[in-house]
Amino acid sequence: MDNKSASNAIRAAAYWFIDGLPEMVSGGVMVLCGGIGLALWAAGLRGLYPLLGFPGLLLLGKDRDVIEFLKARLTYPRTGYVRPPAESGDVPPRTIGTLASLSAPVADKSITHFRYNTVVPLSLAALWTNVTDQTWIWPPTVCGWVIVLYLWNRKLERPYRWWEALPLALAGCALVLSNLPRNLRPSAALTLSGAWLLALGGGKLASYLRTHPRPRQEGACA
Amino acid sequence: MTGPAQEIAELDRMVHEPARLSILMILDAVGEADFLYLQREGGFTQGNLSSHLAKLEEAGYVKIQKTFKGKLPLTLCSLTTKGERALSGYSQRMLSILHTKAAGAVAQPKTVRKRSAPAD
Repeated sequence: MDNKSASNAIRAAAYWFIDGLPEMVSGGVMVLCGGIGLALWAAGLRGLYPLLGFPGLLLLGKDRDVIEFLKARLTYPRTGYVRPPAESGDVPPRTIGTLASLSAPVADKSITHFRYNTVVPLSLAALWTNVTDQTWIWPPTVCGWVIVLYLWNRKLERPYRWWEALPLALAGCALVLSNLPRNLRPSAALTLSGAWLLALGGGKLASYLRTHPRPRQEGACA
Repeated sequence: MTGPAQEIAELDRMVHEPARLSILMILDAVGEADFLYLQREGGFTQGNLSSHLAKLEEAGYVKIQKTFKGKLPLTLCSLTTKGERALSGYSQRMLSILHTKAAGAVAQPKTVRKRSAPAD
């Protein structure tokens, strides 16, 4: 988020996403889960389908360590370091609420809503594709889902641009209208959502590395 | 000296300086950050930021730690409890001054209208 008027806390939380690594890690986990589902289906082990979520949960619990590890090796110290934002729902106490209350209400501590506003809705949407075979219901549902995702995140630390959300809506519609067997749709949708996040993160990482050359040494301090 | 003027005179000058206030507010919001982040966010030059951080560290408002991120050195800055208290006290005092000023501004137009009435 380049908005200079955003609070220091939102800008700090947005900084976590500056190099695209959080999207890439979450997208990678989703692709992995979807891939496992597709492999189980191909191997005819459909009874093990409910196990699909376990690697995802396990990896998402450790995603911050993975992101920190990658940031330390790939992107640090190009534009500096700031403490990773807290997860939404784990809000630390306020210390400077008095001045913040003078202007419009904004989050006064660095918090990320990414997991709950993007990863969880995409995973739930993927599972939901198994609900019905009524094809007419899917185009408005998928488009509506993507619009909600876009609007929901618009004023938060990781906003999407409309042209970033558009491919997800189009690919989602194509997927649910295709002749894929109903049982296969959740895995395919999960893989597709993960690939979308991976592509967003990958593009951002490439652009970040190109525009921020590695400094010779860390900035000297007091 | 009484009222708001005295309150202004009693403001903590270590916090009141705009660059230092900006550093303290950033650190209060983010928890901890390194030199490069503060430089980028505050729009400081390296020398300017170094000098303000040195003053804040000397006053005990900011803690500066040398650590490692992977194999690279990392200089982390964070607020101390004293710094948090100073910033909170400053914001409360400033808010009270601004409230007094705002209350005065609301009362003023009525007085002006009363004075201009006889001229009509």
